[in-house]
Amino acid sequence: MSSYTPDSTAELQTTASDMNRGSLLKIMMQNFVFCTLVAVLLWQFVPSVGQYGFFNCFVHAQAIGNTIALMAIGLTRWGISAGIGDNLAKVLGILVSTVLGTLIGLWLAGTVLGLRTGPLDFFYDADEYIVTAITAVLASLAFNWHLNRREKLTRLELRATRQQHRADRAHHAMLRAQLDPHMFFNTLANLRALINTDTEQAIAMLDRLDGFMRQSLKASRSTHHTLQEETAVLDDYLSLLQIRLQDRLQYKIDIPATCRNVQIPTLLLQPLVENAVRHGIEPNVEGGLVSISAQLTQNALNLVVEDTGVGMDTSVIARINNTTVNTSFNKNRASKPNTADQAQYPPQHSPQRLPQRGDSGFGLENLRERLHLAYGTDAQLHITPSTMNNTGTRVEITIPVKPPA
Amino acid sequence: MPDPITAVIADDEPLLREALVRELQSLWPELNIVATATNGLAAIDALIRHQPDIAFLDIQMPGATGIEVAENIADEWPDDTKPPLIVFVTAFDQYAVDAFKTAAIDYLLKPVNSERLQATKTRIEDRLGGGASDTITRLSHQVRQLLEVEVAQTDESIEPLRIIRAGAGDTVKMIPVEQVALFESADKYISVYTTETEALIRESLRSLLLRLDREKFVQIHRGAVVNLNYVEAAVKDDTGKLTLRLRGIDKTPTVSRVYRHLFQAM
Repeated sequence: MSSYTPDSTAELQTTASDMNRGSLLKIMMQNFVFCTLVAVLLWQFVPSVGQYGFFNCFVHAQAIGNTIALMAIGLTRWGISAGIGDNLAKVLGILVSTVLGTLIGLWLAGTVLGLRTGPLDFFYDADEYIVTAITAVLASLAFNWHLNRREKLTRLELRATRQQHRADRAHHAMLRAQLDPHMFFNTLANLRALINTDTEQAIAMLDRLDGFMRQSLKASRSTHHTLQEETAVLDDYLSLLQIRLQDRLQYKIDIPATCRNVQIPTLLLQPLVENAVRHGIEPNVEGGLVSISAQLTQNALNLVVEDTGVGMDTSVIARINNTTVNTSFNKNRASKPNTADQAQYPPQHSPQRLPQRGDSGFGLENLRERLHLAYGTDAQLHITPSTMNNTGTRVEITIPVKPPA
Repeated sequence: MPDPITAVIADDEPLLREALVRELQSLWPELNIVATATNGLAAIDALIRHQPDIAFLDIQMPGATGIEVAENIADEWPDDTKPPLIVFVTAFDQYAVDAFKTAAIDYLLKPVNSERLQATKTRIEDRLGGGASDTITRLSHQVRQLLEVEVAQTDESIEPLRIIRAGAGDTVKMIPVEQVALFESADKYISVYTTETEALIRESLRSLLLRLDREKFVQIHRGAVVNLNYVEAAVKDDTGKLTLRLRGIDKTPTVSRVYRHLFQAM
């Protein structure tokens, strides 16, 4: 499902350098065992070579097999780092190491066994040892196949780990945002004020806080829940805020029955609602309305969070479209066309919420990341001025839904 | 018998505003709460109209934040009357608390409890003595420190601005930022002045300032930022008002009290 395609060169380099220490030793040990096995087979089942005895076969197999292996690893790695392309590097590595490795291996074996008659006498007894050479070539091919498979496995593992890591990070960021201390302490302050004056409303507020905390906690344990569960959290959240802001905040949640059981990533809309209140309604002296609605089409779910607050006007949206906020997330995707509305509410000017590294437009950045992880390019996030009044903001999310079976 | 001590309370959240009023009334019955305000702009009005001894200001308020209210008061307060002593009220907010400590400003954390309020009361009573000009100087100093903490907190994380893109009809003027002599805010816009041209951008001065080179651009007023390379002279008139003369531009921006120290003779 995911369309996340990591930079494969980078990953290959990682695998190549992973082989540097422990892993290279392990490969060479495996290779040693494999070559020994080849030596035993030659000794036992190939009489033309076996007649010279096990030691002879062993030295040849080791010399040729290990030389090829070392050369193959070295050449492939060098090729990748030189930037000739992963596949070309591998093919060249195999070809060159097989030919040269066989020659050098034979030369080495001849030296060790004292069979060589002159310094450049590679084929000191070509008739017999050509068989050894062929076997060694086979060994090298087998080794390379093995190496490739390992590399692929490592790469897949690495990719899965990274994907998981990204998902975890996005999830944690979402939870951190959820436990906004400012909101929490403000709620407590209000609760404290209410206890003396209006016990009934204090209890109602406590119940809402309880509901909100419980739902948030539940959401932290899963990646998806139904839209109905999402709106339950939002209802608690907004009613808490309504007790604080009183008639400055109105809200309506309008979810058709057909949408209620659709699964969505947990707390997907919550940051949008939080933005709408914090940056749209709260800075507005008159306050305003927050509206949450959903619509199910054949294979997509449209979710809209809209407010009549101070919002941002078209020129601000246009500016955000043209400039990227200085976070790595934006930079990574700056070239993709759909990043335009990678936006955020206008930068906060009040000193208590300064734009900070990684914080600017936090809610939306994290949201985009989560949408991307869950749906790839099938999900969309779009920001426009509100249709309810001139000033507010409208954020629309479209996510794919499996058509009912 | 001396005049009773007066106070204005500003908080946009009704329950918290009422709670603070109640707490103050029970703990400090002789304090006379002359007005409450539900947003920053109303707070400025109330402070100017009532000229209280103390202002309890919430930070997060629509219209103007508590810090903006304080800045406004420090700028505009007449020289011969004493400005209110400002006490900020905030919920959990480490940044704000750090800033208050740096600027030696009184603050209250929400939820406000009686013990803390008592301690604040004692501190306030100690500070209420003192003349008008001392208090104004002190307030200007405090506001300046608050603003400096804010800058220190953001400096590194924001990309510097190089080119101002100002829309004018169908064209977008591209103005290299070092050619700008003066930025002046007006409503939701900022007027950008160079020696050759004038343009409007839609941006807040505060967020713009965070992206400007601090060596060259300095704020001289809540509504004005000037390029020091274009400042020819600072002129003080009879009333003590300080204005700047700029090279190549027919503008004489005023330097507010908070920023006056930048243009003192060596």
